[in-house]
Amino acid sequence: MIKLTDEQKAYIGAPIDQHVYLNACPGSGKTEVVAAMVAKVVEEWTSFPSGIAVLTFSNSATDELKTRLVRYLGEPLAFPHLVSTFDSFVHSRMVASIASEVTEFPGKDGGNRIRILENKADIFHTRKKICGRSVSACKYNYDLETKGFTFSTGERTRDKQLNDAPITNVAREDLINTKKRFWAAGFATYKDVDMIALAALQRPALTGYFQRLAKRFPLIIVDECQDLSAEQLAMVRKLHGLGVKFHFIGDLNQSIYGFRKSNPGNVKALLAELGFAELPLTANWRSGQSIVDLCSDLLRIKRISGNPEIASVKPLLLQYAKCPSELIPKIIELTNVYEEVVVVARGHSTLQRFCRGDSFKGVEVLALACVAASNGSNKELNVAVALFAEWLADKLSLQVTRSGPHCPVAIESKLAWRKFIHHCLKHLVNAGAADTNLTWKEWAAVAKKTMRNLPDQAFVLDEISGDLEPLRVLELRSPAKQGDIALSVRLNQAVAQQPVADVLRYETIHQVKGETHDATVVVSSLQKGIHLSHWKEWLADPASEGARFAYVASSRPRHMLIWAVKKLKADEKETLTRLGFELV
Amino acid sequence: MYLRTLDIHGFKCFGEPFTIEFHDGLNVLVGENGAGKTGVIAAVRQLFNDSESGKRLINERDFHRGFHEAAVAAQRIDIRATFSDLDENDAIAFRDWCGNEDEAKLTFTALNLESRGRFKSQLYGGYARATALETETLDLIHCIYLPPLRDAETKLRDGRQSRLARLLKALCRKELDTARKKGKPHPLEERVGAFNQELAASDDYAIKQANERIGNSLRAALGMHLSQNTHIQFSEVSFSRIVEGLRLLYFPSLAAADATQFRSLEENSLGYNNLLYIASILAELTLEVEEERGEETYLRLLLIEEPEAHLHPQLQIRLLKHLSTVAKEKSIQVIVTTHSTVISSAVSVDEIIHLSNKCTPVAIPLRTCGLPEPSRKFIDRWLDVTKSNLLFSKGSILVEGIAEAMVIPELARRVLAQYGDGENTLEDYGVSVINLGGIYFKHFMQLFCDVTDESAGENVPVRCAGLTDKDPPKTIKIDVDGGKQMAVEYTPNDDDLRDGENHALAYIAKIGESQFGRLYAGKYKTFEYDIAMEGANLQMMLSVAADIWPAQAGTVATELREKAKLTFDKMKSPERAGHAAELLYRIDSTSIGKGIYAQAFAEELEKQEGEFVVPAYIRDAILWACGLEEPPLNDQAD
Repeated sequence: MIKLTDEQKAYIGAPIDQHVYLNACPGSGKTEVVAAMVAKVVEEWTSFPSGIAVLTFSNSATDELKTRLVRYLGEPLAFPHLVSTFDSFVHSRMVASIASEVTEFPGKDGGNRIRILENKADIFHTRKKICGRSVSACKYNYDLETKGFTFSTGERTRDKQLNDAPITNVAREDLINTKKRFWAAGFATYKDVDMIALAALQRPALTGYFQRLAKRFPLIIVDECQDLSAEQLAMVRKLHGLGVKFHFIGDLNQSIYGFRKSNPGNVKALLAELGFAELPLTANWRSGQSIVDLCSDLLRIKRISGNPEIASVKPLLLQYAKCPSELIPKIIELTNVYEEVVVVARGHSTLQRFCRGDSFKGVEVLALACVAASNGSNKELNVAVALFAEWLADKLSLQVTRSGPHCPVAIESKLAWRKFIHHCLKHLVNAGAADTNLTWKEWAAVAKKTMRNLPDQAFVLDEISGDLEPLRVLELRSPAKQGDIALSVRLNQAVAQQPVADVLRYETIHQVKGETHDATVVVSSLQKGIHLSHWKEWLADPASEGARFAYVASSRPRHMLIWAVKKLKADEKETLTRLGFELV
Repeated sequence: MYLRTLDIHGFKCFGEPFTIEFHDGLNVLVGENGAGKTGVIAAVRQLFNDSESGKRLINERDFHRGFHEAAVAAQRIDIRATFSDLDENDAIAFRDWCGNEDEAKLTFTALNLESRGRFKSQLYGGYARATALETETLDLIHCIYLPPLRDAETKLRDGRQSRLARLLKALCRKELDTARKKGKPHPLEERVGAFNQELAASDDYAIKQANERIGNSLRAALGMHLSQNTHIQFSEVSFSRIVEGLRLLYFPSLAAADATQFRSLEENSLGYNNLLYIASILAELTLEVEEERGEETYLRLLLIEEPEAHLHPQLQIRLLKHLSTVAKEKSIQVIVTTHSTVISSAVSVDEIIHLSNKCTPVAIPLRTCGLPEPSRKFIDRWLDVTKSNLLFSKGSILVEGIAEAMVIPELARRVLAQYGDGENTLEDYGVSVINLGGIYFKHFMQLFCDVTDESAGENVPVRCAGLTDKDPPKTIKIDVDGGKQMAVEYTPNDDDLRDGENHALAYIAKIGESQFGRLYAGKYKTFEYDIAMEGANLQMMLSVAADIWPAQAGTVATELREKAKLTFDKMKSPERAGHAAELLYRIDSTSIGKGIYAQAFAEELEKQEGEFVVPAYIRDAILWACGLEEPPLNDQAD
């Protein structure tokens, strides 16, 4: 963007000693504006060694912002300022040094760093059974809003069962105590970190600590503020109380993390409560006018201007009889002049009807790693290393860092870790675990035997030799109902994970958030009732999350928007044409 | 794995984006001063921590600044290295530098913003600046730089971090590690420790007495509370200190010699000390290649500027050939800059990269010049020390024989006379005359231009003019009475010109289309003949022949002298041709010979007396090689 609009200039010159909310519509050039504003603030900053913190909600967003800042500043953003994810900030800046005051973790080997585990780990179970089985502390979290517990075990049916069941006081006590034991042993989940932070913020003994933190970061900029959870908002409120000024940037209409308990209503309330000054960005530079209009109409909000230089093409409606994959040839025909074409659906199940590109889980990951390692190309070898490292780290509940890949904190040299993984893979391949002609049952036997003698191998690193002991009793089972099927059936795709023959990309709405496409195809599911993936659920209530799903998905394309729906009845056709669609 | 490409921008003389392609093994950079050779080496050093000469720090003068009016210093420096041919282990180790590609990248950038004496710079691996660089990955590349003026003696001397100490520590790395873990001393430390004790305790060596005397003296002066204790021994008992105290001695030949006959390096020749220095570095590098020894490195880069410094040609040749072998066998990538034709002739043409800087630096690896394999082999054998001048001059004139090689420089003086002192000799223009010893233009000129349609390739951006003879047939058939044909001698002249049989003539057209190459052929017959056919040149040429005719009192010499008085410029071409043919006959005879004649001829020309007309084709070649544009002369025969 060369020329800045007045709205954009207004934010770049916004005061940094006040709370400001930049209400940015889709396609407003928000990231660029934020980068420009941060660059200006940094260049005019006089309060060294205090600095500003720019927080986002994903590693890719952080990387994108860092790259833009390099362009403005000529070099990466340096001390005392930082760009990181919200979670990472809370963990390393707020909680890391003082967590033990809340968790009562005495420390291990001289360090008291919290080990963060995902819900794939399975330690510290409740003493009693809940809905038939005990639950691991890694698989549930406290919810500030409901004042209850939310379960995420990784199995959908179990989650539903647990979340719907009423929790007795006895069970509640058990859950709380299990968490406490979990924390006291030095473990925590990501959401636990938020709770620990909030608990710490309440402690009088830590007031001085947090006052210093507020002085250290007098200005915090939060991108995609609509994704803030109730716990995170509570933290914001507390920090505000200590004098920190916030700039929130986002679009409440693009809040789609209800499953993570983000509620735009809460954010709105906080904006009002703390007196945020609102600056709008109301021009959409991404899309043609008709797409922009449709999006505004979806939420029944005020219409805004689109990009006058993009030819305004009416959004199209394609109908399928039984399965959306019928429409692929037509989609390719309609979009063949465009480069970046993406097919978007609410969830993976709808997407699965298009291609076999679904993700691999559990023991399949191990098999995939072995096969890729024996394929001969260096790229696939590195992918295999990453897969195996992740599988191993999860299996052994090792705390890992992102880089490495997945290098355990205990190991200093990431190179040594990679070489160790490489040796493990060679060990497995030599034992025959890369033979795709084996059935899953045969393969599981070979892999299990080989993994069980892994701790005895000469190439094992001293730092983790103890951690590998659990492998001696490792159990590996073939995936459900695949026991007699050869590996090749499931694993014959290229590991490189690039779209192979198809020119189209397939993503979920959450994966495309923030992106810009040339053409987007939004796919509605066959039936209603599955997590708001049907178009009727999108149009039912403009204030609902369903509507916001459609809004986020439909505001991605520059030139062409297509909705793919099941064959319509006459009145349904009318509803959609009135909305602005043209039937194909 | 090896360093394949280096992209440089804004650094030193590289104002425009510059790229140089290396290959695995030995790379020899040739080019005149100011072409950018040192710049390239400095750029490589900037990327790595050099274990020998220390880290290179960016200073103000590293930012490129043009010489034109109102030029400002560059705002940033960008140096990017691309590594290729990674095997499995390399791919795992340098994963972050590869991203999703097969080749690894390492980038250095610096901004022209000074802060407390240092310039802001970043070093990152990979295709985009994502995560911070892991220094342990960078250390997997061992780079060693040897500057042009080396003080080998100081480097080899004993003392802290001496070469010997480093080599020994590298050799004993595993043993030292085990000893440290067990908490026990290394065998060497034990031995020296025992030796020290023996010296100190024994009464035979007076060391004990000396120590006691010093101690007593100190105690007397300072008393018991303030005094210190002393001990005399060979060195501290630590591996580092022991090996740092070791000294390298030499003996001038490989003949059997007693250890006591070896001498200290200060007595050694400068050149040989240099060789010892380089040998010790190679010892350390080759150690790293052997598994389980030395430190683990995935790529070893050896940068040597002017290895010819202090070395006699014989030693230069041996050293370079050895470096070439070591580079291949021990997978060390060696990059060398040189001004020496000895070195460039000792290596293969495939290993040479030519650097030039007319307005912007350009690097042309000779292996990319489109040389067909037979040509490449030919050049490798024929590119001896004198012909190597080809690569070091600002312009070159390629000739077929010794006669041309001797005479052309003098003819050039005549052609260039009009430009005045300082610009009237070939040396003034940096142009070399190179004797190919035959009609091998097809091979050598391929370096500067595409000689045929099939041999397309890069061109070394230096002007090259080839001079060749027309070589028409010696005899022609004419019809005689009786329907028969008779063979008569053919003397070319303006009224009777025929096609030449020289197969190099076929290339003239294609070479003429190129930017840097030109091939010129004589109009008539051969070098001396063509010169004789112009103006009154025969006067001087016949006199010279007469003066060197062995039998001075005989008829031939007298005849030649008489003929030399004729007014050749008034003659018609056919008549001159006859005299020219006779001159040629005399020159070619065993009494004189082309070489002797040329030498005498050149001497006469040197006197710069009298009128002399230089044939057009020779004139054009000289002007082309010197980079002078002049309109071609009209043919002025007769």
